[in-house]
Amino acid sequence: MKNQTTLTLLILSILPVIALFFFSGCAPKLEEKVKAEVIFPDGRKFEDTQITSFADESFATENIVKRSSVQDSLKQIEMMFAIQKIQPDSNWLNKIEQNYLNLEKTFPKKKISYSKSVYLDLVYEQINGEVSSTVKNTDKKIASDTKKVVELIRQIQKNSLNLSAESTLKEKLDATQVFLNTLNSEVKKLNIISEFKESFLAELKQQGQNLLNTAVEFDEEFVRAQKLGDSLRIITKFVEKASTQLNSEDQISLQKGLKLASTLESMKDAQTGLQAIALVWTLLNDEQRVRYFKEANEDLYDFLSEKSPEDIQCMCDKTCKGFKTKIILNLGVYPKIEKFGFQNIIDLINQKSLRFVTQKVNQVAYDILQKIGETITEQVLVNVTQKRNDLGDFKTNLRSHLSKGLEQEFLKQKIKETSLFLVDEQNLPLDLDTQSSYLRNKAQALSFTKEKSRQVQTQFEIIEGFLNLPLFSQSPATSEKTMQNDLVELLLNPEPRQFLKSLSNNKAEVNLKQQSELLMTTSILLDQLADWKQSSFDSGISAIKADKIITQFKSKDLDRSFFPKADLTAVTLSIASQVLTLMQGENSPLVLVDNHNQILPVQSISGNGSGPIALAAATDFKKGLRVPTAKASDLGDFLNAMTAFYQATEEIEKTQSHFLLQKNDNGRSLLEDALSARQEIKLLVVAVANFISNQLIQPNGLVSKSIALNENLKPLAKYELLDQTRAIDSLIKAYELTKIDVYLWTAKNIYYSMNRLLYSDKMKFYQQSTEDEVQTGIDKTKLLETYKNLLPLKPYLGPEEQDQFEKIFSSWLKT
Amino acid sequence: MTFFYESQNFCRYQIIFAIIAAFQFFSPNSLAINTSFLPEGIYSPAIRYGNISGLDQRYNEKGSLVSLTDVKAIEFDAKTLSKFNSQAQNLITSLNRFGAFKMGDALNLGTLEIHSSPQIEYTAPILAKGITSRWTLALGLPIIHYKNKVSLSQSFSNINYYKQEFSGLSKELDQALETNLGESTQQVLQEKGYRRLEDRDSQFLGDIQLVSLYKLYERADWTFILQSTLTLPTGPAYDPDDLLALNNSFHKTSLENALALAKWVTPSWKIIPYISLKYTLPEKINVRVPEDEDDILPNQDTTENVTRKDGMAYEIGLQNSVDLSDSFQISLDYRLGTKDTDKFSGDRSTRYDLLEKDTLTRWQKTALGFTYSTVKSYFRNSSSIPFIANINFFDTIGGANIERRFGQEISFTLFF
Repeated sequence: MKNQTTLTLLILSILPVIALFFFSGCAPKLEEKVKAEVIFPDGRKFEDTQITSFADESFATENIVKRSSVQDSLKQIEMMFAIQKIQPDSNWLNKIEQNYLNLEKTFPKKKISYSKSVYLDLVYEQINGEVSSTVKNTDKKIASDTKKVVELIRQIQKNSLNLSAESTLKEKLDATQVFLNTLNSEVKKLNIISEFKESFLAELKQQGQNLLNTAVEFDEEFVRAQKLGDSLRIITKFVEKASTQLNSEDQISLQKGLKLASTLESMKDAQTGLQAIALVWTLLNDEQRVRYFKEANEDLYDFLSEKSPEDIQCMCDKTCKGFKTKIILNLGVYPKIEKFGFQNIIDLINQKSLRFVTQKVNQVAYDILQKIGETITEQVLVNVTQKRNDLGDFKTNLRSHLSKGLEQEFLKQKIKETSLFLVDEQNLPLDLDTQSSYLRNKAQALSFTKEKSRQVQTQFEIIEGFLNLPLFSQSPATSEKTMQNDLVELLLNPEPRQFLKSLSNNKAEVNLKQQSELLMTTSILLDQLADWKQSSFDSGISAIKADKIITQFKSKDLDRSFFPKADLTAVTLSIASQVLTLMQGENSPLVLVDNHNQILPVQSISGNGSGPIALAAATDFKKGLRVPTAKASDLGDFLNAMTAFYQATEEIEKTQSHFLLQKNDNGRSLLEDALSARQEIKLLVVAVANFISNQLIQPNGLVSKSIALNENLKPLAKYELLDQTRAIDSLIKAYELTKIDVYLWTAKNIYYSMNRLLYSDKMKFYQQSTEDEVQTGIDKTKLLETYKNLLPLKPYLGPEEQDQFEKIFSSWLKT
Repeated sequence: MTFFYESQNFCRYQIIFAIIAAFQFFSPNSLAINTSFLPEGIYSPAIRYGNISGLDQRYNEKGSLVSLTDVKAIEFDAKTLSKFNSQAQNLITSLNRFGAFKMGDALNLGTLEIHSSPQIEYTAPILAKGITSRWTLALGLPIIHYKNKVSLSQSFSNINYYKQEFSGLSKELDQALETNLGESTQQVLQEKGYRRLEDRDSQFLGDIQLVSLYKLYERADWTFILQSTLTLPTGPAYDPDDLLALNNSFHKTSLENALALAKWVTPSWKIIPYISLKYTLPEKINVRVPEDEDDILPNQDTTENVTRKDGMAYEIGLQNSVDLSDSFQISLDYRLGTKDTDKFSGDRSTRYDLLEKDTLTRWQKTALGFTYSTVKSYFRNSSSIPFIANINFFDTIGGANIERRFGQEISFTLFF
């Protein structure tokens, strides 16, 4: 039994082993499937061709063709800037500066009149309503505040100004000081326009407190005066210093007093003694004459009281004639005067007149100070009226004030005149392409413009020139509108606009190249004007505060830039917006190409019926019809412009421009629209880059000159150098934006094909087209453009390819 | 030796013959032909438990054993994709518009691999009775436990390159490039009315079998036997909406007749050559009829009630068994068979021929069995109860158009 159990266990334990042996022996083998591999698309179609014939410097010098027209000069400088941007070099930058300064000196330009400045028009448009409203409100508030202040003065005067006619002048002045202090502190507490309050308090200090201080000073001097003459001179000095006006009676009295004082000082005989007495007589009224003369000398009183005013006057003037009078004077009056003594008369008159003058001063001070509240009120009202008039004038002539303000500020900064467009011999602006190229160069020239005034001037010229670009567009729809108004309207409310080539050509058409130029100009300017980027504008023109231009009133609102980059960003984008909205409109130069090569209008992209669209082309739009041929060079420029605009608006979400941030009725802001537009632009970049890399590329690797949209995308079998290089440039930019390899591959293949099919050993450079081997020299402008277009590709070439690239161009560029 | 001895002492040891009454109650191994009979009036309840794996491998039409994962793997290159739908076609055409490098044509979403590990466990209670000394009848009710772990994977795709290149351009393109083949397949299946390809775990009654074992002729060292197996369609019917259903295994009405000769070569070694023929009654089933050769997932509207007529199956085999002792026996079996092409017919005159494709089947099967029996010791009164325990290992070692079946079966049989 035990053995059996052992055997059982043994067998059970070896069963799986036996089974395993059995089945592994005859078990079939599983057939292994050949595993697939991950295969990636291959982008290399051509190899670079080894070139052996390179130009040396003497060959290049002999064969370079230099042109110096304004267009050529601009183009060359622009290309040089582009090369500098890719490959910074200080020597190269110096060359650019020389060329640029030469251009500025050589070619005539149109001066900017401040009264016609579009920027000032824009500012005016922006602030006019606000200013009117502010002025109106301020005016109302000032009127209301004035009432408050006047009432306050009245109340304080009533409660605090306790003057007594009998009190001394000092006491009166002390009381007035209390009044002014109270008024000052109470006005400070008032809730009135701060500017008005400050102005009032300043006026109070200027007019009230200063007067009072002068009066106190006067009082101190006056009480020390012993003689009539001294006291009157102190009064005269006070009147002059305080700029106060005495009434006519007091003025006459003062004059007479001064004359009396003079007479007293020069009294040496009876005649001058009488003159002094007569003068005193004239100063007094009947009651005073009785009080002062009769008490002192009754005979003299009787004598004088009998005299007519004419007789008294002749005594004053020492011109008395007549025998009888002379007898009376010589026999009756003069002896008595001599007997009385001249010094006694002088002392007496001084004593009496001083007392009189003191009383008079007290009386006058009482009268004046008692009415100080009214006086201040009057002054306030005068000032208020002046202020209101000034405000009214500012409002009415705001535009003119802006011009004057800017002109004066510029003069302070040593900027005498500014200019914008380049003009021809008839002083007419050159075409749009030239102007936009000029602006782009100006913007880039800021990199070497270090002098502050020159910098600010250039910046103003850039702003003004750019804002004037829409002049090259269709005339205003209604004749009532001026171009100037229309421009402002256009900048504030951008809409699609057909541009003219030049102002002399009134045929509006959608020219793709122009649209690209405008977009490219916008992009380059955004590098300077975008408020979220640091640029020379920050320390230049944008550092000019509004209170330097608007000096008519002070306001915290003016403590801001007069050329704020946030606003400049908005107007710059408004011109870009014109181009972009035109792209979406009925006359859009853009067309879409569906997967069946059907040409669709750009609007159909949102239609439900359209299938996937990966291609887009663009052409001119003339006489209401789309030109059926898409040109490679135009497409390249257009692609470049869109890529540049996309990159220029990177981080636009950081903008502080209230134009862009404010929400419309639909709750959307222009910034949100701009961000959506950027996404669409990126798609458009892809679609146009696809068109170039898919449709324009031919089996020989070159880009066809054009393609017929109405013939199922039939390409023209003609290959020009600039079409190739522009395609390369734009595709590299598209690659750098999208990181889609096919654009880089295509660009490289075009370059390899150029070296294979377009390089001329004879000319030691690329020939202009496959059909044009014989050419007389290499045009400098085209040379620069070729180099500028190919340079972005260089980093993506292999080391040996890069060496060859440099060898092709090095000697030519040294010329 | 034991067998030989038993056959010679049948009366005494008649019950012993019952121990190998290995009826084919859901016996996917379909191995041993039965040469053992129960004495008249004797009942023999038995229970079988087995599991079959290896169903994820299949012998293809050329006879090579391939992984079902490989067979069912679909490479979603541009050509395949463009057949799927217009959106895929548009995607490829649009990608071809990027440059002149045929970017669309180079797109490869990779190979979708459907990893499935089907496994069948069955438990079959069987009751056999010796009707006469020459005739034994048995009834079996197989209970099937079907498990299948399913997962879908995507490999060898260059889609990541395309994502890196083109993502962020448009929502639609991003969505197209974010295609998860596995999930997309599931979605397509659902759209087409199929069940999702996901893990299965179900239990059901299989086809009931009634087995008759009749002794045609008997001599001292050999016996001539007729074994008839009637299968009744009690299992699950064909499900046209479930790609993972055991559609060709159940719900059959068939009769299989086998003629076997059990020959004792020595007292402990017996060989049993046999031949069998299986006929299946035609059956009406709902099935999706492909529209063409490329229609790997016929739409729901192609579902049609067709008549399926399974091909006639023929088989020959040889069974060896050796008694190691009174209690132990080892057996080795080999069988070779073929089944004719299934035939489909219906009213719509559609592409029934596509249903018939790859239904001509061949197979070679083998098995190794070990048996432990207390019957002899019971008769010697050294065991308290008579029972037989058996374990079989089986495999499909060759064939065409048939899945590999590799497994084990344990059975336990009592007598009273």
